Amino acid sequence: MKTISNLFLLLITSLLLCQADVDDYLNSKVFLKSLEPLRTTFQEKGIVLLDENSKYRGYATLMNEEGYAFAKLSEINSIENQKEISARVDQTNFQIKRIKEFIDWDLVLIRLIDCPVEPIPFANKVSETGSLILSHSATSLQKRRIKMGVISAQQRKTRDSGLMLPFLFSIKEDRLFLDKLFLEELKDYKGWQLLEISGQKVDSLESFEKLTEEKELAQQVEVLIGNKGERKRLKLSYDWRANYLFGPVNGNEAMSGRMSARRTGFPEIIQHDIPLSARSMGGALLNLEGEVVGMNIARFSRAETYAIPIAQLQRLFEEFLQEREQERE
Amino acid sequence: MNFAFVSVFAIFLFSLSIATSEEQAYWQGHQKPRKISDFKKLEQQVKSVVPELKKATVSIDINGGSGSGVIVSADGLIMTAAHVALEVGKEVKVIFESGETLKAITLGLHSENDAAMAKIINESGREFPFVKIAEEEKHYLGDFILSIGHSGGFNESRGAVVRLGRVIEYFTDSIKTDGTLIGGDSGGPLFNLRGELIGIHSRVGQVLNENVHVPVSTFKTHWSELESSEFLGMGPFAEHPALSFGFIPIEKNEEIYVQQVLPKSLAQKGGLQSGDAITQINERVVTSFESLAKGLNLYEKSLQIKVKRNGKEILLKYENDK
Repeated sequence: MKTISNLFLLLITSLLLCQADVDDYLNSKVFLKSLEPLRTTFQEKGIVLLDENSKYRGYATLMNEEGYAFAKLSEINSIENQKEISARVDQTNFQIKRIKEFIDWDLVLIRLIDCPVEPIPFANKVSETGSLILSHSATSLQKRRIKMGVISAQQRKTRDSGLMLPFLFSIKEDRLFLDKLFLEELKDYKGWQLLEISGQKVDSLESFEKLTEEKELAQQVEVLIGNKGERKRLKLSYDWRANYLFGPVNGNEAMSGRMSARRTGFPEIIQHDIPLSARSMGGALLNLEGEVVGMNIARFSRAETYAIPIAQLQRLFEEFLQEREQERE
Repeated sequence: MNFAFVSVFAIFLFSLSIATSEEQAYWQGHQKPRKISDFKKLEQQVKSVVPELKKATVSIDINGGSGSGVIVSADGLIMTAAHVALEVGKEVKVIFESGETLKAITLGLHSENDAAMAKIINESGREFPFVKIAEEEKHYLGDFILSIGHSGGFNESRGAVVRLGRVIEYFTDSIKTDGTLIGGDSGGPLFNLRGELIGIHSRVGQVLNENVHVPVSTFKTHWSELESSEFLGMGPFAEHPALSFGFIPIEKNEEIYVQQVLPKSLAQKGGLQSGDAITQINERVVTSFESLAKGLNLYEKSLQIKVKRNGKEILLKYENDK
């Protein structure tokens, strides 16, 4: 009997040994306790952005001792009552002022009014692939939480193939007809035929693709459409595909949950593997020395998060300071 | 045996365990980083192995779809997943991180375990970068791992993507880790922190931090059959596209999405696309793998599949032409 019970105990023990304990996950609370000194840096110097109901809506990265900080422009713009956005550092709230937008980078420079906090030191070298990094995770008003990961790929420009004009079309016998229209002022033109783009004839899908091959964000083109003898010239601009098409457009996006609305077309990014929510953008990315290596800018997919390298943030900020000096002179 | 002897022996064992943990930079589950300096050692270890591992990790391009693989011999033998290779004896494109593209032929596959091999066509006898396959097949919960792959397909400016994780579960025929994966990583390599190959990426989990890999032991068990281009098993990871409907589904929040449409399959011919959410089959609601499988059994007669694509509902019709 004793032998049987011992065997049973052995079996149960073996089964338990094959199952993950909470401590076996990379970002378990128990595991991250060992990084408490770095969590304290996020607690004392990390900036949390709050909406009018004191709900956290993202983060910002402090650039100097005057309270200037960068945040993610499109996430800030999605907050309903812009005037009531405030910033919280540790347990203290500060009013903020919007200073300047950097559309290419999806950045907004803000200023925390009367904020005495010193910025976290900046790293002076590029982090190699495989470097360990830390980021803000979901947070409460009282406590900042962190997550760990690695730099996943080399620093680069992101693909900018995500630009489109504000409509989808259907094709009948090589002719293109406006189908889904993403701007309110276009809604009456559903079913109209697409005739020209920038004065060039559109007579097939191939001609449309050729005419829209070269494009830039916010670039305006003249589009001629027609319906039953009537003609209309429209001035339309390219915008990010994600601004028009909500929801997954391929298999990888389908399995990725909510991603950042603006997640492509950045002039330069670092890619890492920390699984953050799309709302947790704008915060600093730290190396193990406790230095800022970048600022989270986009949740691209379930396996990819993008950050803007600190060197680029410093350059943009320096340019801003120089402009300000020139204006003062 | 007196108390003093026992104490001395215990101290000796304790010292030995400290020495061992200092030498092994935390690549086993029971040795965890306790302070920041420990994490720095871990980082050093990762950075020291990653460059060579990336060189041997390739993107595999098959009829416009893409997965990953890893070279395991100097003459160009590749280990990958069966659902990437799909067929035996098929010519595929292999893309190195540098962008160099070479032709390869798929060898054998195990369609039940998701294991497959391919071989680079190497007429010049050139030597390729390759990785070492782990001899030790024992895993510990909490072991650190590195997941590498060409996520979403080859991207020259980005290269192969590296993710850190830990072993959270293991069985004879699978390893589960919390290293994140996405489409395109399938067939890519899973390494321990010594840089030894311990598995091949197989399934992207429903939960973000629970993904499944085929252990190298599965490859070792069937090595000779795989090398000699045998088709093993009856599915589900590889079936002849003409005999099946021909797509790989994933389940998310009680919705079934199409992750990959297999080339030349009925699914592709009928217009099913990657990213489609299948809502109904022959007017029966689809919310799970079970309801999907039940619906697809109706294929014997005809199928009407309702999908959601970019917010629009589309009805796709398939007729049995047997």
